[in-house]
Amino acid sequence: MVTGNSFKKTFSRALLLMLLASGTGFLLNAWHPEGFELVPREKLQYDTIVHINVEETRIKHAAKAALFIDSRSRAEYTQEHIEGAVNIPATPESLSMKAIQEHYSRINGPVEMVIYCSHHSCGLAETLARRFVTLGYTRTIYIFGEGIEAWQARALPIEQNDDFKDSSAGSTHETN
Amino acid sequence: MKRIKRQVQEYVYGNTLTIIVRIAIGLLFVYSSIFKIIDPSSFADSIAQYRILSDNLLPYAAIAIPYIELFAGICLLLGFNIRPAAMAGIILMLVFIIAIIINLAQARTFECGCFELSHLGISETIGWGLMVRDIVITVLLWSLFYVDRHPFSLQNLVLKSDMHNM
Repeated sequence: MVTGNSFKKTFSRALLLMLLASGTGFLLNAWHPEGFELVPREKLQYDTIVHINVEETRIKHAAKAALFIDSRSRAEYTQEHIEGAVNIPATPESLSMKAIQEHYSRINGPVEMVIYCSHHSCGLAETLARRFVTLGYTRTIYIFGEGIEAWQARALPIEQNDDFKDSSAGSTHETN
Repeated sequence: MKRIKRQVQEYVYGNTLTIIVRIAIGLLFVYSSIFKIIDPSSFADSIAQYRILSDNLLPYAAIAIPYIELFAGICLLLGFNIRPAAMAGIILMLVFIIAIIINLAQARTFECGCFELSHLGISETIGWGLMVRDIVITVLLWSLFYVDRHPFSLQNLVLKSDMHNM
């Protein structure tokens, strides 16, 4: 039977057991080469996102060392985008996820990603980058925050669709 | 009534049921801890869903809890330090139950990530059923406190050999 005294004893032994167990856990984790990092999750999550300027972006583009992702809406993308970029809109989430599935193989391809948006709405790139991290993407994600305007200002390669701009401004709204 | 009393007495004295309860819970603990130890970050994700621990504490809990489960599970399974192990188990279960109640009160449901039974195809979405299950496990662990003799355990083996040597 459990008396008051033996309850205390059991309790302290239970605590000892728990302490020993967690101690072993932390030790093994520290020793393990692929150990779990004991840092706040926020920090752990987003430290793979790096902001780069137009010059760094240009070098990456010229060397074809990155997959360029346009995080703006499909309509804006169709009007003009950095040469070779694919469109993954950051919002709304449903469209974004659909586009991610569509470009899945390229996202997981051999090169890293540079996400850009337009200068005045560049929360989009950040939103999209965070979505990738949440989905489990562990490589570095670059954000080109100065946006497509800075790219244009330096007359760097762009793909444009003027016809679309002129003739089908109405259909833009339909597709959205 | 008499039969029930007799059953309880036999359980306390230590019969097959005692062994089954002890080993079943031990196995459950060890089984569930292994997945969590292998993949602490996904376990951290599941406890993050409860929105109880702060982000700074999460990784520590994600490391400590599985090992406590493992140690308690092994003790129960092999049958030594049974009472302290059961007590540690009860403490864990109470924490889980409180966490589930807090989330149910806010009408939030998600996969609980408690025993990783989803690997066996059993759904573990948090709800009243899950809470009842946790309470049953707690009660069973509690019942182990009152058992005088655990047949088929290391503890009993040591006891027997001590008696033999006397």
